[in-house]
Amino acid sequence: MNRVKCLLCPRECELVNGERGDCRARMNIDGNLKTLVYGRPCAVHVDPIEKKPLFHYLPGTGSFSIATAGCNLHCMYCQNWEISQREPEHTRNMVLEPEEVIRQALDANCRTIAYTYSEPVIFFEYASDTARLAHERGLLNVWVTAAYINPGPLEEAVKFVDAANIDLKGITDKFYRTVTKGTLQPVLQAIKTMKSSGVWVELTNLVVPTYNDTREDFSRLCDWVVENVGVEVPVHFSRFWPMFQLKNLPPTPIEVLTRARDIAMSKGIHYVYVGNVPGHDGNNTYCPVCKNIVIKRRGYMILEYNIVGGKCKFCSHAIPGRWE
Amino acid sequence: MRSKDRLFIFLSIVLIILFIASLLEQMSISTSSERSIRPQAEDISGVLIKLEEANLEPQEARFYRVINE
Repeated sequence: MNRVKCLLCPRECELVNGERGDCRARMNIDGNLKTLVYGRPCAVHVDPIEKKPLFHYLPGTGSFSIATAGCNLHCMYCQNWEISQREPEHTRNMVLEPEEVIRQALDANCRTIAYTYSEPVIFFEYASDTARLAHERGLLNVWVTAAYINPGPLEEAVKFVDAANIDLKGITDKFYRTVTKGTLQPVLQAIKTMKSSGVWVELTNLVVPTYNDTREDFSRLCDWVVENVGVEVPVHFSRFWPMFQLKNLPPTPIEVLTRARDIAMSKGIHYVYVGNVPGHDGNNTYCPVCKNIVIKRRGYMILEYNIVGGKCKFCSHAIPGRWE
Repeated sequence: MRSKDRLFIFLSIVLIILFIASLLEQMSISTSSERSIRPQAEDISGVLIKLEEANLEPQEARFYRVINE
């Protein structure tokens, strides 16, 4: 029986008959590569879009969120490991074909469909068919992704992905190899490609104590952002919570997240957020010119909204994003 | 033997046991993580039955190349 080589992600798994890829969601069946998760999400929820997190994209709207089992990374701290690190036959799945996803999203008055929780790359076929239908019905598509994807599939994805929150998990290859079992360069390239293709991009860096929490880590990451995607790309520093294989670590100290934000702002990045810490100043969006709060938040909740026609209500400075 | 000495020996044994337990736990985590990364080829008929039982319907994937043998 023929072997197959999956070309979806940089792992490029070569699989003999009956063998699965690293992602657990794709398998060689009789010499053909099959996706095992098409139309079978194991998580379906309506979330505030702020939960993705996307803070500059249709704020205050609901996002119909789906995920299937599997992932092509194996992060030691994965916050959703119960679904991302399991075979699809070991999760509780729904039967939800793309047409039904659209119907339910519209019924729930959502503006977007989010492909999230695990990793949209590994359910590419399901995500792309759903996304095309979504566009036909006036819905937009959001990927929450680690962007560990090959250039060919990515080139296709940017045709139907409207916004993405991309995890930039660290800024060294050593970190990626040690903690995620992946590599850094494909992720950096994918972020640049998405940005240059017109996808609305926000970045998230989960700050893990002792792994990626030094001043140098933050400094290097911010330098890369400024040089490659620009100061207007929002950056979220998220608080780590002990999970999966890193239960031995404490939650990220808040002062470390504040330091990360300060460093990012000192590098000139305009919109820097602190995630998973409700009530932190870093939950808010500030106008970079007049310094007023243009969106006041507590966690995912919007308390004040001072953007009119995409501009700061106080000084008319244009705030990048999609607001209406 | 003084009671102080007995206490010292007892505490030492407890610490050694805890140390060995933590080493074993670490070994178990690293083994299971390596195993989880690359599930090996399986008996295809058994797998297909399992997938069917789980109500999964494998569909043709995109982005791959057949390697003729």
